Amino acid sequence: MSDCEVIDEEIKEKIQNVVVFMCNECGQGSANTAGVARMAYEPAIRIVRVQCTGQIGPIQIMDALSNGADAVACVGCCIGACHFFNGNLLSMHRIKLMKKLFKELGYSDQFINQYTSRAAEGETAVGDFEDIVDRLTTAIKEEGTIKDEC
Amino acid sequence: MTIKEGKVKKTDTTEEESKEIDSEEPRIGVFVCHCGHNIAGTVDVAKVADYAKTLPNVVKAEHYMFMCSKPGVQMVKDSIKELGVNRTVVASCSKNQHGKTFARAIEEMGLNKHRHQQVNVREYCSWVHQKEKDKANQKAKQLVEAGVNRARKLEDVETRKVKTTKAALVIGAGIAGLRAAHDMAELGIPVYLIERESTIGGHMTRLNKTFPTLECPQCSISPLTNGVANHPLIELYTNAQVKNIDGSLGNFEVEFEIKPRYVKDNCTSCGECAEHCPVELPSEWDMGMSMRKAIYKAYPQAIPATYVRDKKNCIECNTCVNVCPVQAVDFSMQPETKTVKVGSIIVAAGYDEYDPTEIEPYHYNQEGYEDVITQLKLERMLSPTSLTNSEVLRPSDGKIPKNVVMIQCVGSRNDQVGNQYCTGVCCKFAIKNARIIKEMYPDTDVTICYIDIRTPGLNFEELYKSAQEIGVRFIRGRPSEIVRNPISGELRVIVEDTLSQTPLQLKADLVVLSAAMVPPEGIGPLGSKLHVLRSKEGFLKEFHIKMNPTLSSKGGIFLAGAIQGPKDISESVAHAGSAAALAAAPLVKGYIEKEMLIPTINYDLCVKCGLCKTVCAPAAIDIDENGIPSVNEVACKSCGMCMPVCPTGAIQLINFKDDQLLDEIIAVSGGGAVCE
Amino acid sequence: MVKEKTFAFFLGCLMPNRYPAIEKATKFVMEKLGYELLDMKKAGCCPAPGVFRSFNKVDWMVAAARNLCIAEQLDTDILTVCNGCFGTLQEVNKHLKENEDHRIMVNEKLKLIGDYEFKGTINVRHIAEVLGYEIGPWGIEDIIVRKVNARAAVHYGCHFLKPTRIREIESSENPTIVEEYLEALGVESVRFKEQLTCCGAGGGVKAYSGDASMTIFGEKMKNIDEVKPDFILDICPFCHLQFETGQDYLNKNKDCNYNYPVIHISQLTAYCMGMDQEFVGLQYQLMGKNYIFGEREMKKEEEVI
Repeated sequence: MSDCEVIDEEIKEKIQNVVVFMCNECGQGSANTAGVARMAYEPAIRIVRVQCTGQIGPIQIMDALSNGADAVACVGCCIGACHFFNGNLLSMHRIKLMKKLFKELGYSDQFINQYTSRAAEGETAVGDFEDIVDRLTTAIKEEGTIKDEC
Repeated sequence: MTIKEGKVKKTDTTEEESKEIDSEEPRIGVFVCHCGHNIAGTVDVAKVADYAKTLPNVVKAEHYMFMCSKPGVQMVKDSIKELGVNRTVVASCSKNQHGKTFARAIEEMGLNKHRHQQVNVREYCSWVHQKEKDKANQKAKQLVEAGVNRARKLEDVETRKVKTTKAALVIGAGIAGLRAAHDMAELGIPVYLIERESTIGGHMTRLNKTFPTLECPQCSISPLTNGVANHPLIELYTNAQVKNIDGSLGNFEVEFEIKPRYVKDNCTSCGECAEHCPVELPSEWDMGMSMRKAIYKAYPQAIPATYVRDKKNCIECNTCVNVCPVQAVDFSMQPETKTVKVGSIIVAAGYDEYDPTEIEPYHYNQEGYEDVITQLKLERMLSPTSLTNSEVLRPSDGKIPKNVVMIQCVGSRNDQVGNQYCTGVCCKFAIKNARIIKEMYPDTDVTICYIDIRTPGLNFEELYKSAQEIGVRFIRGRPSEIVRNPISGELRVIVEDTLSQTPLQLKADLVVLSAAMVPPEGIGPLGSKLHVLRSKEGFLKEFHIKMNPTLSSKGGIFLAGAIQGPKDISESVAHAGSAAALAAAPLVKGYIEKEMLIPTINYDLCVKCGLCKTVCAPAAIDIDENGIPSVNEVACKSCGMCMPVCPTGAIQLINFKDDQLLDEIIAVSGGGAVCE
Repeated sequence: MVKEKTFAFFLGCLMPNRYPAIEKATKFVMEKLGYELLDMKKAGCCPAPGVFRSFNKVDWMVAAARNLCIAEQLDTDILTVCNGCFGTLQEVNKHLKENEDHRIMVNEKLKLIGDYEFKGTINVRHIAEVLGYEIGPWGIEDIIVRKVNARAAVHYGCHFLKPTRIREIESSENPTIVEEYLEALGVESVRFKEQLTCCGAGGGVKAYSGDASMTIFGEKMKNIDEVKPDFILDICPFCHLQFETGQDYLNKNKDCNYNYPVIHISQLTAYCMGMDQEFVGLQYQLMGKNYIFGEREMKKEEEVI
C-alpha cells in the first residue's frame, strides 16, 4: 500500500459515526434495496429515517455534529421525484448555505452533504455513502482534524 | 374512532400541556429479532438485547428467532398485557416490511398504533456489514438505543374520519370535462359543470374529422353533450369562471361568476335575432372561417342552444329585443355569483393551440403571408358550415391551392422558441388532413415536412401508409423559413431534404403549420386559486407521472384531459374516466380516513412571520388576518418542511419534533450511552 | 460615463484603402449632427469576424480587445461604418463584459503587447443604428437640406443585425430600421426576392472561392435587377466592394449588363445634408458613374397656430 492509501485507511478508522438522514420515499428505499442486495458499505454510516429531507434543518445537523457525529448527510429523492414536490430542492438549497457558513467560520465544508438516490437502485445509496466517507477523508487529510474544533 | 366534520382547527398546545399528556411513565419493551441467520449471523442479538435492558425506561428486552411469526407477535402483545408496556421497539427488518405488523398488534391490545418504533438492524446493519462484525454490533446497539430514545417520546396520533360533501365540481366542459362529469353523475354524485365559453364541447367540436376513423366529431360527441345537458344530477353553467376556492379534500367551497348571456333561458333558438342583427364580424370559434352577428350562437349544434349577446360589439340598436318572438333578449342581465360546496374538484380546462407568431421566419399573421395558416384553421375551412363551403381555398385570393405544404413541430421539439416537448398528436392530424386534401383535390401536391413521423398505436401506421399510397409527399427536414416573392406574392418553403441531403425550395400556395398544444390561457391564475403545482411547461402537474396521472399536487383536486399534458381525444377520455373514479371514491364512501400526523403550533413561540405557509406545498397552512397560522388537518401531507423554516421552532410535526429527533440523533452520533 | 456626442472613429481596412469617399461622407455627417470624431491611434484590423475568428478565437478576441482598449482610453464609444468591424467589435465587447474568465485571459495576453487592459467601459455603435434609431427618421428631417427622389434596393448585410440575441438591435427576419430612416431622405425601398441573403463576400468566401462568391452574388443581382432600382444601398464597405466589383465581374464573364450605382448610407446622408454630389465619389466607383440624385421637394411642416 502506498503512503497515501495508508493514511487514508488510518483516517477512515477514525471515522466512527456518520449520520445520514434519509427520506421516507427514495432515501430509505434505496438503502433498503442496498440491504436486500447485501451491498457492503462503511459501518460508520448511521441512517435516521425522516419524512422528507426538506424536514432537516440546521438544528438537526448541528445536533448530530455536536453530539459526536463526524459528518452528516441528507439523502433525498432525485430531482423531480420528491413525494412532497420540492422538499429535496429545499434541502439542497439549505445544505448549500450551510456549507458556505462552515467555510466562512473556518471549518471544512465537507461536514455536510446532500445527495439523491433512487429507491429501486441500491447502488445509488451505497455510492452516496462512499462519497460521504471519501469527501470526509480527503477533507481531514487536507485540512487536518476538524472534529475537535467543532 | 369518531366521525368529525373536516373543519380547520387551531391546535394550540403549550409545552406544559404536552408534558401533562405524557405524564404517564414510558414503559418500553424492546424485542430483537434473529431473523434466522439474517441478523443473528452478524449481530450478537443476545448482547444487543442485554444492552437494551440497561437503557432507561426499558422494562423488557428480549430476543427471539422470528419476531414476525405468531409467537413473536404474541410476545409483544403479552408484554403489554402483563408488564404494562406502553411503547414498543422491534429491532428486525424494515418499517416497510413489518412495521405495520407490530403496529397492528399493539393496536389490538389497545395502544395507539403510532407508539411502535421499528428499528432496522437487517437491511441497515447485519446484511451490509457482514465482514465487520464488531462494528456491526456497535452500530446495532446504537440503532436500538436510538429507537428506544425515539419510542420514549412517541405520542398518540389519531386516525380521523372526515365526512365528505357529496358533490363535485368540474372546471371545463370539453370532451374530458364532459366525460368526467357524466361518469360521476352516473355514480349518483351531483355535479356542477362550469364552462368558460358560451358553449360546451371544447376543441373537439371545432374539428372537421377525427383520426383514425375519419368520423365527424360533432356526431360522436353529441350524445355526450346532450346527455350532460339533460342529466338530472348535472348543473351546467356556461359563460362561467371560478373566482375563489376555499377548503380542502372532501370539503371545498367554490365561488364562481356567471357572465350574463343577455338572453333568457326561454330562448327557442329560432335565430330571428341573429338574422336581423346589423353587426357582423368574423367568428372566433370558427377561426375567421365564417361570420357571426353580435347576437349569436357559436355554431348550429351548440349546447346550450340559447343565443348569446356580444356586449362589446353590440351597438344596442335593440332590433333583437324587438324581433324575439318570446321576448328572451334582456340587456339588463347582470353577472351572477354562485357559491357551491363540493367534495372533489376536477380540472378539465383543456389546451390552446400554439400561436406561431413568435416564430418569425414563418411570418405567421404577417401582411402578405395570409396563406400561412394553422391546422385548426384548416379544420374549420374543411367543416360543413365554413365560408369556403368546405373547400380548401387560399385566404389571399380564394383560389384552390395547387401546392399545399404542411410543416410539423411548429412550437414543439424546439430548444430556441416555443416548447421542448413533442405534442404527440400533430403527426396524426397532419396526416389525416393531408389525406383529406389529397382525396378532395387529386391534382394538388401535398407535402409534409417532418422531423420524425410519430404515429404509434393501433390503426395509425396504417393511416400513415395510406397517406403515402395516395400520393402525399413526406420530406424529412425542418423548414428554416417561408419566403415571399415581393413581386409575385408567391410563397416558398425553404427546407433541406435531410435524407437525400438536398436543399429545396418548395412552392407553396398554402402553408399549414402543425402548431403545438400549449396550456390554455388563464391557467396561471386558476392554478394559483386551486393551489396546485404546474409543470415547467405550464400544464398542471400530476401527482406521479406513472402511478397517478390524474391526481394533482393537492388532495381532492383531480386533472382530466389535456390540462395535464398534450393528448388526443381517446387519451383524454380515458384520463377523464380515471379522474372521475378517483374523485368519486371519497364521495361515494361518504368519508375519508386520515391519520392526523400533523404539526402542532406553539402560539407562545410563534412570531407570525408566515414562513411556514410559504414552504407548504399542499397549501395546508392558513394565516388569518392577524397573522396567526393554523394547520388544515385534511390538506396536510405530513412532510415536515414547515419545521426548519420556523425561526423559533414554534411549529413541530407530531412524532418528528426537534426534541424527538434529537434523542435519536444523539444515540447514532455516538453521544449516547454507547461510547468508544 | 463616456463622453457624450463623441465617437472614436474606427476606420477598418476597406474604407480607408478603397472607398475614402465613405470616410469623408461619414465625417461630414457626424459633424453636421454635432458629434466629435476622434482618431484611434494604432488601431488595427478589427479582425475579421469570419476568417480570423474561425482560425483562432482567442487571438481574435485579443486583437479586437486591443482596439477596444484604445477607445476606452479615449473614454468614448466606438463608431463603425462596416458590418464586419461592427460584428467583431460589438461581439467581443459584449462577450468580455459578461465572461469573467475570458476577460482575465485576454487581459493577461494584452499585457504582453502593451499597456492595454480591457475594462468594459464603452459600447460599439454602427452608423446605421446611430442614424436609424438615435437620430432616427424623425430627427434627421431637421438636419437635411434636401431629399432625393429614388427607389433603392436596400441591403442589410449579415453582421449588422445577427445574431439577434447579441446585437439586440432589431429582429433579423423582417428588419425595417434602415428603410424607415431612408424614407425620411426620400428613398423608397423596393422589396426584391430573397432580400436578406448574404452578398457572398464575407466569411472568407470571396477569398477562398471566387466562383462560389460570384454564384451567390449573381443570384442576388438577378433578384435586384427584377425590380430595377435606381441604386443599391448598403451599410458595409465589404458589401459595397462586392456589389461594385461583382457587377463588373458579371458583366465581363456572365454576359450581364448591370450598372447599378452602389451607395453607402453615409454617402447618401451626407448628400442630403448638403455635401456636393462630387464628393459622393460615384465617379471613382465602377458602377453608375454618371448617376445623379433626383430631387424631391421637402415639405415644410405647417406652423401650428
